Amino acid sequence: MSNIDLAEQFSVDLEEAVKTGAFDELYLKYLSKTHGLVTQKMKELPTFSPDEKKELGPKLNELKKYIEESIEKGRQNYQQVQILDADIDLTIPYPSVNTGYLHPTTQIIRQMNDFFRYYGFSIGEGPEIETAEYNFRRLNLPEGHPATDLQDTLFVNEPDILLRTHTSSIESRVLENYKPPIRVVVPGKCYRNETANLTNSSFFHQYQGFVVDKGITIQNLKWIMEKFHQYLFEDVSIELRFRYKYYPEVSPGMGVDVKCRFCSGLGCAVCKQRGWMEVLGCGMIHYNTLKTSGIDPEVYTGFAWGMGLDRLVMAKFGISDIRKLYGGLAYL
Amino acid sequence: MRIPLGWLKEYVSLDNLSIKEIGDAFTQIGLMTDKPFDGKVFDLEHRFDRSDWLSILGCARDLAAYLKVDLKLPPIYTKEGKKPQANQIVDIKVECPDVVNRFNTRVFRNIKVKTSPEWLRNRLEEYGIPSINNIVDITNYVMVELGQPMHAQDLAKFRKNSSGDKEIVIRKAHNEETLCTFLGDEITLYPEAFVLTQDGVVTVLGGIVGGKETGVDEKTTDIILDAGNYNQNIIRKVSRKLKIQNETVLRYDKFLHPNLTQYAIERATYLILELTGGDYYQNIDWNPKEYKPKEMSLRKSRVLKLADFNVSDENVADILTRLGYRIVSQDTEGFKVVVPYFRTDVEVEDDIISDILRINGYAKIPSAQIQSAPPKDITPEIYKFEETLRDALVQLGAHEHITDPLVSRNEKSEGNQIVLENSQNSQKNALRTQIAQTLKEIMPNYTKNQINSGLLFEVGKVYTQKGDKKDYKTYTETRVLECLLFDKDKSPKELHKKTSSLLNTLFKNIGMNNLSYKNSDNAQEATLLKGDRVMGTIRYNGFTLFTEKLLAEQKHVDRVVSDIQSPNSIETSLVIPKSLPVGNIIDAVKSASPDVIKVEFLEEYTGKELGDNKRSVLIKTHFKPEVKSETALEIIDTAIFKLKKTSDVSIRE
Repeated sequence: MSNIDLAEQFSVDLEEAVKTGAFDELYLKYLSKTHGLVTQKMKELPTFSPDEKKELGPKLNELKKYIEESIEKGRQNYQQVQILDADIDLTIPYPSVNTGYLHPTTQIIRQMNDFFRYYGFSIGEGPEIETAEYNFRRLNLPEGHPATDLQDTLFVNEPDILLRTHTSSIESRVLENYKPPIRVVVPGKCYRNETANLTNSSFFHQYQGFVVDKGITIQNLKWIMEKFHQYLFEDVSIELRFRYKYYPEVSPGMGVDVKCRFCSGLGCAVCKQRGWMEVLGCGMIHYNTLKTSGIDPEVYTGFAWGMGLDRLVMAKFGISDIRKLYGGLAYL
Repeated sequence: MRIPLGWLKEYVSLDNLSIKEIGDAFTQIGLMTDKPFDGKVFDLEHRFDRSDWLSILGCARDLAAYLKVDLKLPPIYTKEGKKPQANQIVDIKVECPDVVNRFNTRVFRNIKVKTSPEWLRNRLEEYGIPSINNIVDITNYVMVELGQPMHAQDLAKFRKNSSGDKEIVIRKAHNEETLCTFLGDEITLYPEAFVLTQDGVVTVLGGIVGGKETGVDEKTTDIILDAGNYNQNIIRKVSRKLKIQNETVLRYDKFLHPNLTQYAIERATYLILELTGGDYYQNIDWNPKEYKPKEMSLRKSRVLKLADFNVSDENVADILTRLGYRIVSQDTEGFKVVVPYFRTDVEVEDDIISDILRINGYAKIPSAQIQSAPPKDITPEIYKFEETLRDALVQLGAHEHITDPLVSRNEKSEGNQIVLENSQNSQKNALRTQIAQTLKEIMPNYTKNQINSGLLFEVGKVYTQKGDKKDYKTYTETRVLECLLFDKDKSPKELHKKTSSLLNTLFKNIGMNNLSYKNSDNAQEATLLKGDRVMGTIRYNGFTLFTEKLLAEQKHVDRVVSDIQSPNSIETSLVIPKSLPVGNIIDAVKSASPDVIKVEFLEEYTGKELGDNKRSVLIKTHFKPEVKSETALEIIDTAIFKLKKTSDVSIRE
């Protein structure tokens, strides 16, 4: 095959490759070191006379260069065409495959766990059927204390066996079983004797956390709350308000509010004209709680916080009724 | 707690403050505004700790301290009353001293009962108590103002006892005894309640509600006024049992101090003499116990320990004094203080620090990162494992659901269901004994949305009890993974296959193998076993796994390939009996030689040409790269040869 034939054949092959994108194969056909058509011709050069070599050599080199450049150009054009192809429709979904979905509450719990795990917190767990001892007494709520009314208890065997009214019962158990330093978060189910409506249910989720160590102060509590809210609301400039709030298991106690996201603090129906929305309760772990758990409150101090999860989950996922969240959902 | 603005201004000057500023100040000190200000009244959240915050003066005191303005106390009558003649004294007999701490009484004679002046009527009505007459209104006014419930009875309606005297006897109620309240309701009493009686007749249900019998009306001229202090726990229990909630109970079921009775009765005396005329006579103050003031230390070092924040001595002294503490002494270490009697909530030094920090303002406390190193991770392995199970199932296309563990009591249950004693909702009066029950109810959510097949799961607990209900150890919470499949277009048999293969892949992904099953008595389900240990149950459309048991058996699966090699593989089609589990074939090939890396199950076929009891399975065996194809074929042959000894297995041509 003469050089002209070779060039012509290459033109035909190139045209085909432009359509299919088979440029690698084209390259190998002509320029493979072992069996490329041009390479073969070059290998045959020594068999020609010096004059023929003078004429043929540069032509072959020219052809090789032409083929290389054409392939490279063709490849570039081909890729560009593919990307700009007008037939591409970004609105057509990928053929359906079975992808599972985690429950919204699990997703939020994981999101919160991620934050606290980063700061060295473990995750705590414990029974939902609880004794009054761990649910109340160890949290500085003696029998008959008026603040018991803050939580309408569901009793399994009154007065000693009940369904835990908060995840603080795990705090009682962890403080009893582990020595400081302690950093634990507890996501979990809780129960109260409430009539169900859109936002309240006798079954709900709380997210609790506590830290006990030497040198822990209310300043540390404020710091972690600031960081946590920045993370939770994905807003580093989020404004928080710390105010006094009584919880039996802490002293001093604090309520934490964020500036109302709907009215920017001016007061609206959502925030009951307060300008702030209540997010959680916290405080320094009560002297008596540490003492009852066998931790010397003169040596160790700690803080704890707790929050309801469900309203947050409902707000994030646009679910209007707590009863739907736990039984009324389907995933598409 | 409702605080009418006009009434509040009686004690604290608020002239330069807007409604929002007053509301914000209340919120900062612990009395968050519960409802928007309605033009007259602040509605503040009460957290059941501070009994003095169930009084307007108590709320005003903290507000004044926070705003650093003076607190103006209401006038009281501190002079001694007239001495009664011996036969005019109304005797007080307390037969249940475990319930009564103090019973402070005064007698007023020649009073004029009539409509209250307008200012008094307006204040009570703003607060939410209807006006009755000046005497009843005064007792209500002092209750709201100072937090001490009081009660007045018409002395003329008292009958004389056998000695010819009038007396009040406080005793435990008799069973089935009744009282007609001042509202005309008849209440049946029981012995845990205590009552005020005269000549054996119940006139008051102690600490809860007064009766009609000795009520004050416009004909009344002589009254006996009492301010009592009782065991709050009894009042809590009795009022809840009898379902009576009112302003008196609201205060009496908190920790009130017996000394408050004196302040309240002196205030009421002032108002009675001012508004009704008449004469005040001394009567018995039944007060057997002396209440010593509570003296406590406040160490500066403790303030630093809790807050690492310095509040000046001057500021501390000012805050505490404004809150009613009395500073006994002060040195470089700190303060010695007497806690005001009305602060029954102050238990420990940290509570005083709490007072200082909140009145000084939480906003002034800076924030600081924890300096110490993070402690050892104590997250339970089961928590991590259940997260792994969730991920594994989601990867297989399953949707997670969380359902309410509270269910309706199953009357047919075998007795191990846990039934709640006081649920308000008959649909939620017991705990579930299986998750399938609540998870099944999710399926219609999908079919209604035209989703006709799916895979649902829940990781949660089931609850049972066996034995003595008072023994906490008889209650069991079992951790369960429940999985449920549905597919409208598949027969139960086809669904069963899907369930089995899902379970198989799930186990493979979490590193479990060698599971077997045993048909249980219930033909609908089979027991899943690992050796002789029960791992759960399987049904045609789902399975139940005990996650704690799985955790004990699972192994870490290392699926990372760091040295990329080109292993050999051979596909083999085998004809086997239907009853022979594929797992046995896989295990036999795997164990035939250490050169086998893994054995994959590719597909299954049943057809008439194989016969009714046979099926064919296609497996793919992967060998180490260095294994030659002849050797690989020999390994397969060896495995089949071994299998043939116990089962009818052959290579399908």
